[in-house]
Amino acid sequence: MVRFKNRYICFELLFETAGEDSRYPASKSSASDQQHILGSTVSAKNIVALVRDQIKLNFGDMGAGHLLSGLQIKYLGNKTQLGIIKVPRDHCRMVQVALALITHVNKHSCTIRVRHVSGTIKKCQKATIQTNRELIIAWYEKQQQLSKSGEILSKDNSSLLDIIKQSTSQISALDL
Amino acid sequence: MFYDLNIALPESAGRPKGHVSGQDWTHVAQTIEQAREFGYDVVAINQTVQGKLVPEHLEIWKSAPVISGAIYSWNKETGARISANTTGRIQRGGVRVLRRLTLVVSDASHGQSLASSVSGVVGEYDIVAVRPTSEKLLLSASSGVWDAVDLISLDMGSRWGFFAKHKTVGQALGAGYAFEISYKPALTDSATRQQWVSNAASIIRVTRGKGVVWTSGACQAFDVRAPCDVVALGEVLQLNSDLSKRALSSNSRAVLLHAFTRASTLKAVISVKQADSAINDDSTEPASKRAKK
Repeated sequence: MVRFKNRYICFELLFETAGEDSRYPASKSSASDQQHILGSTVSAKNIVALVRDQIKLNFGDMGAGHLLSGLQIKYLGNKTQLGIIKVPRDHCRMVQVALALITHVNKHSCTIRVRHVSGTIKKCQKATIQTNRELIIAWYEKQQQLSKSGEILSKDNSSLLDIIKQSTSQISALDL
Repeated sequence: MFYDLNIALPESAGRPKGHVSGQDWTHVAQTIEQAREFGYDVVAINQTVQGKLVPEHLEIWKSAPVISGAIYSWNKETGARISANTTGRIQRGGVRVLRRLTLVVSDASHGQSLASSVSGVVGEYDIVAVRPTSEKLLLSASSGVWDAVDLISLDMGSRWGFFAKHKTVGQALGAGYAFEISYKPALTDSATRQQWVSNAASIIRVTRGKGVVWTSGACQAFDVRAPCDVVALGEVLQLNSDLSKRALSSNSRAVLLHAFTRASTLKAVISVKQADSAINDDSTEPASKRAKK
Protein backbone atom coordinates (compact mmCIF):
# COMPACT_ATOMS: atom_id res chain seq x y z
CA MET A 1 0.00 0.00 0.00
CA VAL A 2 1.48 3.31 -0.97
CA ARG A 3 0.88 5.67 1.88
CA PHE A 4 2.03 9.22 2.21
CA LYS A 5 4.05 9.29 5.41
CA ASN A 6 4.48 12.33 7.62
CA ARG A 7 6.41 13.43 10.62
CA TYR A 8 4.92 15.62 13.33
CA ILE A 9 7.46 17.82 15.05
CA CYS A 10 6.60 19.30 18.44
CA PHE A 11 8.68 22.43 18.93
CA GLU A 12 9.00 25.21 21.46
CA LEU A 13 9.58 28.85 20.64
CA LEU A 14 11.81 30.74 23.01
CA PHE A 15 12.17 34.48 22.65
CA GLU A 16 12.37 37.82 24.38
CA THR A 17 11.02 41.30 24.11
CA ALA A 18 13.45 44.16 23.79
CA GLY A 19 14.11 45.99 27.01
CA GLU A 20 12.44 43.46 29.30
CA ASP A 21 15.60 41.70 30.43
CA SER A 22 17.22 44.75 31.93
CA ARG A 23 14.94 44.38 34.95
CA TYR A 24 16.34 41.08 36.06
CA PRO A 25 19.68 40.30 37.65
CA ALA A 26 21.93 37.83 35.92
CA SER A 27 20.89 34.71 37.74
CA LYS A 28 17.15 35.11 37.21
CA SER A 29 17.00 36.24 33.67
CA SER A 30 16.95 33.71 30.86
CA ALA A 31 15.48 33.38 27.41
CA SER A 32 12.65 31.16 28.63
CA ASP A 33 11.64 33.74 31.22
CA GLN A 34 11.05 36.32 28.57
CA GLN A 35 9.05 33.88 26.51
CA HIS A 36 6.48 33.62 29.22
CA ILE A 37 6.21 37.34 29.51
CA LEU A 38 5.59 37.82 25.85
CA GLY A 39 2.31 36.03 25.44
CA SER A 40 1.01 35.70 21.94
CA THR A 41 2.48 38.10 19.43
CA VAL A 42 3.55 35.36 17.09
CA SER A 43 0.86 33.64 15.07
CA ALA A 44 0.84 30.38 13.19
CA LYS A 45 1.05 32.26 9.89
CA ASN A 46 4.25 33.97 11.01
CA ILE A 47 5.83 30.66 11.91
CA VAL A 48 4.96 29.04 8.59
CA ALA A 49 6.35 32.01 6.69
CA LEU A 50 9.46 31.94 8.84
CA VAL A 51 10.10 28.25 8.28
CA ARG A 52 9.54 28.52 4.55
CA ASP A 53 11.94 31.45 4.38
CA GLN A 54 14.61 29.55 6.23
CA ILE A 55 14.21 26.54 3.96
CA LYS A 56 14.46 28.77 0.90
CA LEU A 57 17.54 30.45 2.37
CA ASN A 58 19.36 27.28 3.33
CA PHE A 59 18.10 24.68 0.89
CA GLY A 60 17.09 26.84 -2.02
CA ASP A 61 14.27 26.38 -4.44
CA MET A 62 14.67 22.61 -4.39
CA GLY A 63 14.05 22.42 -0.69
CA ALA A 64 11.23 24.93 -0.79
CA GLY A 65 9.62 23.01 -3.61
CA HIS A 66 9.60 19.70 -1.72
CA LEU A 67 7.80 21.35 1.15
CA LEU A 68 5.39 23.50 -0.82
CA SER A 69 2.37 21.35 -0.22
CA GLY A 70 3.53 19.20 2.68
CA LEU A 71 4.46 21.75 5.33
CA GLN A 72 1.70 22.73 7.74
CA ILE A 73 1.36 24.15 11.22
CA LYS A 74 -1.16 22.10 13.12
CA TYR A 75 -1.13 23.86 16.47
CA LEU A 76 0.48 26.82 18.15
CA GLY A 77 -0.17 27.52 21.83
CA ASN A 78 -0.74 30.98 23.25
CA LYS A 79 0.91 30.93 26.62
CA THR A 80 3.47 28.26 26.01
CA GLN A 81 4.47 28.86 22.39
CA LEU A 82 4.44 25.16 21.75
CA GLY A 83 3.74 24.14 18.22
CA ILE A 84 3.14 21.09 16.08
CA ILE A 85 4.33 21.16 12.52
CA LYS A 86 3.54 18.50 9.96
CA VAL A 87 6.25 17.59 7.48
CA PRO A 88 6.63 14.88 4.84
CA ARG A 89 8.82 12.13 6.29
CA ASP A 90 11.54 12.34 3.66
CA HIS A 91 12.21 15.97 4.39
CA CYS A 92 11.91 15.93 8.14
CA ARG A 93 15.64 16.37 8.73
CA MET A 94 15.74 19.34 6.43
CA VAL A 95 13.01 21.07 8.39
CA GLN A 96 14.71 20.21 11.68
CA VAL A 97 17.89 21.87 10.48
CA ALA A 98 15.99 24.90 9.27
CA LEU A 99 14.33 25.19 12.67
CA ALA A 100 17.71 24.94 14.40
CA LEU A 101 19.07 27.77 12.27
CA ILE A 102 16.29 30.23 13.04
CA THR A 103 17.52 33.28 14.94
CA HIS A 104 14.81 35.92 14.57
CA VAL A 105 11.08 36.21 14.27
CA ASN A 106 9.38 39.57 13.71
CA LYS A 107 12.58 41.34 14.73
CA HIS A 108 12.72 39.51 18.08
CA SER A 109 15.62 37.22 18.83
CA CYS A 110 14.36 33.69 19.15
CA THR A 111 15.39 30.08 19.38
CA ILE A 112 13.41 27.04 18.36
CA ARG A 113 13.81 23.90 20.35
CA VAL A 114 12.52 20.64 18.94
CA ARG A 115 10.86 18.66 21.71
CA HIS A 116 9.53 15.58 20.01
CA VAL A 117 9.32 14.08 16.55
CA SER A 118 6.72 11.46 15.85
CA GLY A 119 5.21 9.55 12.97
CA THR A 120 1.65 9.76 14.19
CA ILE A 121 -0.21 12.80 15.38
CA LYS A 122 -1.57 10.88 18.35
CA LYS A 123 1.87 10.36 19.88
CA CYS A 124 2.84 13.89 19.05
CA GLN A 125 -0.26 15.17 20.79
CA LYS A 126 0.62 13.14 23.83
CA ALA A 127 4.15 14.55 23.94
CA THR A 128 2.84 18.06 23.39
CA ILE A 129 0.34 17.74 26.22
CA GLN A 130 3.10 16.55 28.54
CA THR A 131 5.50 19.34 27.62
CA ASN A 132 2.65 21.82 27.75
CA ARG A 133 1.86 20.82 31.28
CA GLU A 134 5.49 21.21 32.36
CA LEU A 135 5.80 24.60 30.73
CA ILE A 136 2.56 25.95 32.14
CA ILE A 137 3.48 24.82 35.63
CA ALA A 138 6.87 26.49 35.30
CA TRP A 139 5.22 29.64 33.95
CA TYR A 140 2.67 29.67 36.73
CA GLU A 141 5.30 29.24 39.42
CA LYS A 142 7.26 32.09 37.96
CA GLN A 143 4.17 34.29 37.96
CA GLN A 144 3.58 33.45 41.61
CA GLN A 145 7.16 34.28 42.46
CA LEU A 146 7.07 37.55 40.64
CA SER A 147 3.70 38.62 42.06
CA LYS A 148 5.06 37.93 45.54
CA SER A 149 7.96 40.26 44.93
CA GLY A 150 5.56 42.93 43.82
CA GLU A 151 5.73 42.71 40.07
CA ILE A 152 2.62 41.50 38.36
CA LEU A 153 3.16 40.84 34.73
CA SER A 154 0.05 39.17 33.52
CA LYS A 155 -3.56 40.06 34.08
CA ASP A 156 -4.66 36.49 33.68
CA ASN A 157 -5.80 35.15 37.01
CA SER A 158 -7.30 31.85 35.99
CA SER A 159 -6.19 28.94 38.06
CA LEU A 160 -3.43 26.60 37.11
CA LEU A 161 -5.71 23.66 36.48
CA ASP A 162 -7.94 25.68 34.18
CA ILE A 163 -5.07 26.77 32.02
CA ILE A 164 -3.78 23.25 31.72
CA LYS A 165 -7.21 21.88 30.94
CA GLN A 166 -7.86 24.49 28.30
CA SER A 167 -4.66 23.98 26.38
CA THR A 168 -4.86 20.20 26.74
CA SER A 169 -8.29 20.19 25.16
CA GLN A 170 -7.04 22.44 22.38
CA ILE A 171 -4.26 20.05 21.58
CA SER A 172 -6.46 16.98 21.77
CA ALA A 173 -9.01 18.52 19.46
CA LEU A 174 -6.68 18.64 16.51
CA ASP A 175 -7.88 16.68 13.55
CA LEU A 176 -5.57 14.91 11.24
CA MET B 1 25.34 13.83 29.59
CA PHE B 2 25.68 16.73 27.26
CA TYR B 3 28.66 18.99 27.10
CA ASP B 4 29.07 22.43 25.61
CA LEU B 5 32.72 23.28 25.63
CA ASN B 6 32.61 26.75 24.18
CA ILE B 7 30.71 29.63 25.72
CA ALA B 8 32.63 32.53 24.37
CA LEU B 9 33.87 35.50 26.32
CA PRO B 10 34.09 38.71 24.27
CA GLU B 11 37.20 39.79 22.38
CA SER B 12 38.21 42.18 25.12
CA ALA B 13 38.78 39.27 27.48
CA GLY B 14 41.61 38.01 25.32
CA ARG B 15 43.98 40.84 26.06
CA PRO B 16 46.30 40.78 29.06
CA LYS B 17 44.60 42.81 31.80
CA GLY B 18 41.56 42.66 29.55
CA HIS B 19 38.20 43.73 30.79
CA VAL B 20 34.93 41.88 30.85
CA SER B 21 32.10 44.25 31.68
CA GLY B 22 29.16 43.45 33.92
CA GLN B 23 26.95 43.40 30.85
CA ASP B 24 29.15 40.76 29.24
CA TRP B 25 29.12 38.59 32.34
CA THR B 26 25.33 38.88 32.34
CA HIS B 27 25.25 37.50 28.83
CA VAL B 28 27.53 34.66 29.87
CA ALA B 29 25.37 33.92 32.90
CA GLN B 30 22.23 33.89 30.75
CA THR B 31 23.91 31.59 28.26
CA ILE B 32 24.89 29.16 30.99
CA GLU B 33 21.34 29.22 32.37
CA GLN B 34 19.91 28.56 28.96
CA ALA B 35 22.35 25.71 28.39
CA ARG B 36 21.32 24.20 31.68
CA GLU B 37 17.66 24.44 30.69
CA PHE B 38 18.38 22.67 27.45
CA GLY B 39 20.02 19.81 29.30
CA TYR B 40 23.73 20.52 29.15
CA ASP B 41 25.51 19.27 32.24
CA VAL B 42 29.00 20.56 31.72
CA VAL B 43 29.90 23.83 30.13
CA ALA B 44 33.19 25.60 29.51
CA ILE B 45 33.71 29.35 29.34
CA ASN B 46 36.18 30.11 26.62
CA GLN B 47 38.79 32.83 26.65
CA THR B 48 40.39 33.45 23.27
CA VAL B 49 43.93 34.76 23.45
CA GLN B 50 46.07 35.84 20.52
CA GLY B 51 49.72 34.97 20.54
CA LYS B 52 51.57 34.76 23.79
CA LEU B 53 49.98 33.81 27.08
CA VAL B 54 50.90 35.84 30.16
CA PRO B 55 49.73 35.63 33.77
CA GLU B 56 47.71 38.84 33.32
CA HIS B 57 45.30 36.91 31.15
CA LEU B 58 43.97 35.22 34.26
CA GLU B 59 42.78 38.51 35.81
CA ILE B 60 39.38 38.44 34.18
CA TRP B 61 38.33 35.23 35.90
CA LYS B 62 38.34 37.00 39.23
CA SER B 63 35.36 39.09 38.25
CA ALA B 64 33.14 36.14 37.28
CA PRO B 65 29.75 36.52 38.98
CA VAL B 66 28.05 33.85 41.04
CA ILE B 67 25.40 32.00 39.10
CA SER B 68 22.91 29.91 41.01
CA GLY B 69 23.29 26.24 40.25
CA ALA B 70 26.57 26.63 38.44
CA ILE B 71 29.64 25.12 40.00
CA TYR B 72 32.84 26.76 38.94
CA SER B 73 35.75 24.40 38.65
CA TRP B 74 38.25 27.02 39.76
CA ASN B 75 36.47 27.95 42.96
CA LYS B 76 38.26 25.97 45.63
CA GLU B 77 35.34 25.89 48.08
CA THR B 78 32.53 24.76 45.88
CA GLY B 79 34.14 23.39 42.79
CA ALA B 80 36.73 20.88 41.90
CA ARG B 81 39.21 20.85 39.11
CA ILE B 82 38.41 18.04 36.78
CA SER B 83 39.73 14.73 37.93
CA ALA B 84 39.02 11.11 37.25
CA ASN B 85 35.96 11.25 39.50
CA THR B 86 34.58 14.57 38.48
CA THR B 87 34.61 14.63 34.69
CA GLY B 88 30.90 14.50 34.62
CA ARG B 89 28.63 13.76 37.50
CA ILE B 90 26.94 16.67 39.10
CA GLN B 91 23.90 17.29 41.24
CA ARG B 92 20.49 17.42 39.59
CA GLY B 93 19.74 20.69 37.88
CA GLY B 94 23.25 21.97 38.35
CA VAL B 95 25.80 22.71 35.71
CA ARG B 96 29.54 22.39 36.01
CA VAL B 97 31.46 25.31 34.58
CA LEU B 98 35.00 24.86 33.39
CA ARG B 99 37.65 27.30 32.24
CA ARG B 100 38.89 26.98 28.74
CA LEU B 101 41.58 28.70 26.76
CA THR B 102 41.79 29.03 23.00
CA LEU B 103 45.21 30.15 21.94
CA VAL B 104 45.29 31.61 18.45
CA VAL B 105 48.67 30.67 17.12
CA SER B 106 49.87 32.64 14.14
CA ASP B 107 53.56 32.03 14.63
CA ALA B 108 55.58 29.04 15.82
CA SER B 109 56.98 30.93 18.80
CA HIS B 110 53.50 31.31 20.26
CA GLY B 111 53.58 27.62 20.97
CA GLN B 112 56.04 28.26 23.80
CA SER B 113 53.16 28.99 26.13
CA LEU B 114 51.86 25.51 25.48
CA ALA B 115 55.12 23.71 26.01
CA SER B 116 54.27 22.33 29.43
CA SER B 117 50.91 21.37 30.88
CA VAL B 118 51.87 21.68 34.47
CA SER B 119 53.86 24.85 34.89
CA GLY B 120 52.90 28.32 33.85
CA VAL B 121 49.60 29.98 33.14
CA VAL B 122 48.35 27.16 30.97
CA GLY B 123 48.00 24.89 34.01
CA GLU B 124 45.22 27.10 35.37
CA TYR B 125 42.86 26.24 32.57
CA ASP B 126 40.80 23.06 32.56
CA ILE B 127 40.73 22.70 28.79
CA VAL B 128 43.20 24.11 26.31
CA ALA B 129 42.40 24.56 22.65
CA VAL B 130 44.70 25.76 19.94
CA ARG B 131 43.69 27.62 16.80
CA PRO B 132 46.39 27.37 14.15
CA THR B 133 46.12 29.88 11.33
CA SER B 134 48.16 28.13 8.70
CA GLU B 135 48.76 24.62 7.44
CA LYS B 136 52.25 24.50 8.88
CA LEU B 137 50.97 25.40 12.33
CA LEU B 138 48.21 22.81 12.05
CA LEU B 139 50.93 20.29 11.33
CA SER B 140 52.87 21.44 14.41
CA ALA B 141 49.76 21.19 16.55
CA SER B 142 48.93 17.71 15.28
CA SER B 143 52.42 16.36 15.73
CA GLY B 144 52.23 16.80 19.47
CA VAL B 145 55.08 19.29 19.75
CA TRP B 146 53.01 21.36 22.14
CA ASP B 147 52.19 19.42 25.24
CA ALA B 148 49.26 21.39 26.55
CA VAL B 149 46.61 20.89 23.89
CA ASP B 150 43.26 19.09 24.10
CA LEU B 151 41.26 20.51 21.24
CA ILE B 152 42.11 21.83 17.84
CA SER B 153 39.72 24.60 17.04
CA LEU B 154 39.63 26.03 13.54
CA ASP B 155 37.62 29.12 12.81
CA MET B 156 34.48 27.83 11.14
CA GLY B 157 33.25 31.10 9.76
CA SER B 158 36.21 32.15 7.68
CA ARG B 159 38.20 30.85 4.78
CA TRP B 160 41.18 28.79 5.93
CA GLY B 161 43.45 29.11 2.95
CA PHE B 162 44.44 25.47 3.23
CA PHE B 163 42.88 22.06 2.97
CA ALA B 164 42.65 19.81 5.98
CA LYS B 165 44.57 16.68 5.03
CA HIS B 166 43.95 13.13 6.12
CA LYS B 167 47.55 12.65 7.19
CA THR B 168 47.70 15.69 9.45
CA VAL B 169 44.29 15.19 10.95
CA GLY B 170 44.91 11.48 11.41
CA GLN B 171 48.02 12.31 13.39
CA ALA B 172 46.08 14.67 15.62
CA LEU B 173 43.39 12.08 16.28
CA GLY B 174 46.06 9.53 17.07
CA ALA B 175 47.57 11.91 19.60
CA GLY B 176 44.17 12.12 21.30
CA TYR B 177 43.17 15.60 20.17
CA ALA B 178 39.65 16.36 19.09
CA PHE B 179 38.46 18.80 16.45
CA GLU B 180 35.94 21.35 17.49
CA ILE B 181 33.05 22.38 15.26
CA SER B 182 31.34 25.43 16.61
CA TYR B 183 27.88 26.16 15.22
CA LYS B 184 27.77 29.87 15.99
CA PRO B 185 28.87 30.94 12.49
CA ALA B 186 25.97 29.01 11.02
CA LEU B 187 23.60 31.35 12.82
CA THR B 188 24.87 34.56 11.29
CA ASP B 189 24.55 35.66 7.70
CA SER B 190 24.36 33.71 4.47
CA ALA B 191 28.00 34.04 3.37
CA THR B 192 29.33 32.96 6.78
CA ARG B 193 26.94 30.04 6.81
CA GLN B 194 28.16 28.82 3.44
CA GLN B 195 31.73 29.00 4.69
CA TRP B 196 30.69 27.16 7.82
CA VAL B 197 29.10 24.33 5.85
CA SER B 198 32.21 24.04 3.70
CA ASN B 199 34.59 23.97 6.67
CA ALA B 200 32.50 21.71 8.86
CA ALA B 201 31.85 19.25 6.06
CA SER B 202 35.55 19.03 5.26
CA ILE B 203 36.46 18.33 8.88
CA ILE B 204 33.80 15.68 9.14
CA ARG B 205 34.95 14.07 5.94
CA VAL B 206 38.60 14.02 6.95
CA THR B 207 38.02 12.76 10.48
CA ARG B 208 35.29 10.35 9.35
CA GLY B 209 33.26 11.73 12.23
CA LYS B 210 35.49 10.27 14.91
CA GLY B 211 37.21 13.04 16.84
CA VAL B 212 34.60 15.70 16.33
CA VAL B 213 33.16 17.80 19.13
CA TRP B 214 30.09 20.05 18.73
CA THR B 215 30.29 23.34 20.55
CA SER B 216 28.11 26.41 20.53
CA GLY B 217 30.56 29.33 20.54
CA ALA B 218 27.65 31.20 22.09
CA CYS B 219 27.98 34.86 23.04
CA GLN B 220 24.41 35.19 24.23
CA ALA B 221 21.59 32.94 25.35
CA PHE B 222 19.99 32.76 21.91
CA ASP B 223 23.06 31.23 20.36
CA VAL B 224 22.70 27.97 22.22
CA ARG B 225 20.76 25.11 20.68
CA ALA B 226 19.21 22.11 22.35
CA PRO B 227 21.13 18.83 21.96
CA CYS B 228 18.49 17.33 19.68
CA ASP B 229 18.82 20.22 17.23
CA VAL B 230 22.61 20.13 17.23
CA VAL B 231 22.52 16.45 16.36
CA ALA B 232 20.21 17.27 13.44
CA LEU B 233 22.73 19.82 12.13
CA GLY B 234 25.20 17.00 11.71
CA GLU B 235 22.90 15.15 9.33
CA VAL B 236 23.23 17.67 6.57
CA LEU B 237 26.99 17.55 6.92
CA GLN B 238 27.15 13.83 6.27
CA LEU B 239 27.61 13.07 9.95
CA ASN B 240 25.07 10.41 10.83
CA SER B 241 23.00 10.88 13.93
CA ASP B 242 24.89 8.31 16.00
CA LEU B 243 28.27 9.98 15.42
CA SER B 244 26.67 13.37 15.79
CA LYS B 245 25.26 12.49 19.18
CA ARG B 246 28.62 11.12 20.23
CA ALA B 247 30.20 14.40 19.20
CA LEU B 248 28.01 16.08 21.76
CA SER B 249 28.51 13.67 24.61
CA SER B 250 31.18 11.00 24.67
CA ASN B 251 33.74 12.79 22.48
CA SER B 252 33.50 15.84 24.72
CA ARG B 253 33.93 13.66 27.76
CA ALA B 254 37.02 12.21 26.15
CA VAL B 255 38.36 15.74 25.82
CA LEU B 256 37.87 16.32 29.53
CA LEU B 257 39.60 13.07 30.38
CA HIS B 258 42.46 13.99 28.07
CA ALA B 259 42.79 17.33 29.81
CA PHE B 260 42.85 15.69 33.21
CA THR B 261 45.37 13.11 32.09
CA ARG B 262 47.84 15.59 30.64
CA ALA B 263 47.66 17.96 33.58
CA SER B 264 47.53 15.63 36.54
CA THR B 265 49.29 12.47 35.53
CA LEU B 266 52.64 11.38 34.22
CA LYS B 267 52.10 9.51 30.97
CA ALA B 268 48.66 8.54 32.22
CA VAL B 269 50.19 6.15 34.70
CA ILE B 270 51.15 8.03 37.84
CA SER B 271 49.21 10.75 39.55
CA VAL B 272 49.85 12.51 42.80
CA LYS B 273 46.86 13.37 44.94
CA GLN B 274 46.93 16.05 47.57
CA ALA B 275 45.85 14.82 50.98
CA ASP B 276 42.49 16.49 51.66
CA SER B 277 41.48 17.41 55.16
CA ALA B 278 38.24 15.56 54.39
CA ILE B 279 40.05 12.27 54.04
CA ASN B 280 41.48 12.66 57.53
CA ASP B 281 37.96 12.52 59.00
CA ASP B 282 36.92 9.14 60.22
CA SER B 283 34.37 8.94 57.53
CA THR B 284 32.87 5.63 56.57
CA GLU B 285 31.84 6.74 53.09
CA PRO B 286 33.73 5.19 50.22
CA ALA B 287 36.22 7.43 48.49
CA SER B 288 34.18 7.67 45.31
CA LYS B 289 31.21 9.18 47.12
CA ARG B 290 33.39 11.66 48.91
CA ALA B 291 35.04 12.77 45.72
CA LYS B 292 31.64 13.48 44.15
CA LYS B 293 30.87 16.26 46.60
